[in-house]
Amino acid sequence: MPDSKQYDEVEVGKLVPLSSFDFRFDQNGNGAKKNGKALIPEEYARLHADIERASSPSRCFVVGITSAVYGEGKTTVALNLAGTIAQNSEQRVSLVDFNLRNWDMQSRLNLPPAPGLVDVLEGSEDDLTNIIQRTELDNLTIVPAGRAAANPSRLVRSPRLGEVISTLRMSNDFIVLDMAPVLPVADTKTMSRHLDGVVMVVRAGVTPREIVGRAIDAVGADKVLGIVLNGVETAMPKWLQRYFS
Amino acid sequence: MRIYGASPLFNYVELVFRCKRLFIVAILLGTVITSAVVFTRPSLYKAQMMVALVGNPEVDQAIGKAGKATKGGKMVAAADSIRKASRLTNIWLPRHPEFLKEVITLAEVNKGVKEEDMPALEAKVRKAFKVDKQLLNGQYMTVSITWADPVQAENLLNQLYARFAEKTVNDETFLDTTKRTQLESDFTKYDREANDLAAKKMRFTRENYNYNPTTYTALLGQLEAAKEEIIRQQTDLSEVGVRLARTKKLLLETPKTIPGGQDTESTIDDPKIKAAQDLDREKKQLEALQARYQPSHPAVIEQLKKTEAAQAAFDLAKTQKAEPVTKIERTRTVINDQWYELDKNRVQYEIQLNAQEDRLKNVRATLDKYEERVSKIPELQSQWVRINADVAFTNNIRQQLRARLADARIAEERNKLIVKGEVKQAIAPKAERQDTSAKLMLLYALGPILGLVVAFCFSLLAEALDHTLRTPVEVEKFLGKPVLAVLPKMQPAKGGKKALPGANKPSISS
Repeated sequence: MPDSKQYDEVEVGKLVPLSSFDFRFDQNGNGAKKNGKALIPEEYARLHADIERASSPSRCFVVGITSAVYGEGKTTVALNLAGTIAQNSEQRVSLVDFNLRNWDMQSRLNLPPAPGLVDVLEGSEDDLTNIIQRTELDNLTIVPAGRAAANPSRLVRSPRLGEVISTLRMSNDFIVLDMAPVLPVADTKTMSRHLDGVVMVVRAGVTPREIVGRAIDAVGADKVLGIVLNGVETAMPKWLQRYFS
Repeated sequence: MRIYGASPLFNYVELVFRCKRLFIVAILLGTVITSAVVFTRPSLYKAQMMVALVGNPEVDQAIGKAGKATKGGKMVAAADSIRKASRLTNIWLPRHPEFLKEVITLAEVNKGVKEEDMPALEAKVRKAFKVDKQLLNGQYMTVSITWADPVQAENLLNQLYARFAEKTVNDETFLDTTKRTQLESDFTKYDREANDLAAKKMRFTRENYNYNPTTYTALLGQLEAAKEEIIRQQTDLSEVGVRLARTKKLLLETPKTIPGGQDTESTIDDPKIKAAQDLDREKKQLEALQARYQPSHPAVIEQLKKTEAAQAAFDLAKTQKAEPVTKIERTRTVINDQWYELDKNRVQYEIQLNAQEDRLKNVRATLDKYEERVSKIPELQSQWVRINADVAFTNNIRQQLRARLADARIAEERNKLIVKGEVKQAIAPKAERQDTSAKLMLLYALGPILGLVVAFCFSLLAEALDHTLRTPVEVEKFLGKPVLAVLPKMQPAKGGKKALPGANKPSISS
């Protein structure tokens, strides 16, 4: 299994390096393997395909990555999904940090403090392009949150939110939103009307199914495209799994 | 059951590995606990004995119990065995605590046990005994005991057998014993009665021996002799009376004293001389009287007094001075010998008369007694006959009872020996350790197996209580949504963050 990621120093204004993404590939670009095939990239590719199937080629597809509770891995999934879409296609992808209550993505990408989505929604920043961060992949951009919002509940109901999303739709084929969890806060529920689809990230063996069910119901079962089961593990040793394969 | 894979076996194996720590701990714990329990528990020993409940057929035939040797007899023998065995299981062990208490006491199992703890010990021993209900070949009974001490186990079985044999013998010969006891009681009663009658006969004979018919004639002769004796005595009495009367008459006519001359005594005025002379005289007279009469004769007594007085005067005179000579003239009197002779005769006759009267009185009393005895002879005769008849009758009964009692005792002893021969210890008890090595190994192996089972149950319970989602199948089953991606769990980096080997290096570009 590949080692954990390394976060390199990134200067302000510079392109966000690809290595910042938590692809978890090894030096040969292979992640966890199963039957000789890279497991993780394939999963994200499968996710990409499913989302693509749900989307319309002529219209930007806004997909929200959320979970029932904190710590399910939605930021990781959002990062890797956006990176996978950008890597595997020519489509323009924008990764938006819509978790207005913490700096998870900012800290993961090691981004310096800079104006972000919160500033735009609050009106302190008028130009959306000022907050868009470019990456090494030409078709992948990142819109960080910037800072923690003082009143996220107010911001998600702001009319500027719709404008932001509309603006981003015009310049992207896919918008991947890293959302707040559904049950602890109401941000995702409120925002779900702006989304074309929601992908629920569930950590295997951690989150009770009833909680996930409630989260799906809260978001709207028709909005939920599917589940990403994160952190799946088998306790059986590999030498024994061979006999059951 | 959670679905981890395609096959149920995969699911169970996955469950085991998922809860491997629980399994390891449970197996270890089960092993330790079982080992500790097996190691610390006291060893139990089992002793078993076999009791034969039928006798030797040849012996039975020899003593006349040939019926038991036949086919029908075999059924009787089997019934006897069942009866004997059932007494132990149905009566003595469950219903008679004193039986078990005796066994425990004789086996010395109750050493150091307080009286208030005895009921608990008895219950423990009763529970430890096991008697097989089924008899082997219809005649062998197996009794076993499981006990911590092998020596006590063997002792308990041996004492149980001993008491069982004794009680069986007593029960089987109960009728003989009852008969013998009754005969003993009757014999004692009639023996006492016969002895009483014999004593009564002896007493009767002793009191009334003169009334024995063989001495009746002698009694009559004695009666006649007594009568003749009375007549003779009366004659002698009359003769003595006549002599006494004549003597008294002569005595009245004869003077008692006669003059004997005059004595002129010229005494020296020395009183001593006179006193000595007086004394001498009196002594001489006394000697004369004593030679003639008895000491109790009045004359002798009187003379004795005089002699004493003279002696006293002489003693007094010795102290006095000599006095002038005086001349005393005295007229001397002497005892009439004839009078004294007559008096002596008188006394003798009186004595004879008294003696004769006494003799006559005795003979009269004897005569009266003889006459009374003779008058009672007819009544005593009938009593004698009755007493003799009673004695003979009672002796006869006693004789018969003695014979029957002897027979009953012999029969009882014989039957006891027979029954004793029918209750034998075919196989003596020998205590063996109940836990064999194989059993111990099995017990030790039981721990990990139990731990495995418990762990499996707990793991199933944990799985049932776990409502999280672990597999795509569960997601689709419970949430009804498709699984778009299954991301494996990544291991955290060792030693903190480090560069991805060969990963794209960050590039700084505007």
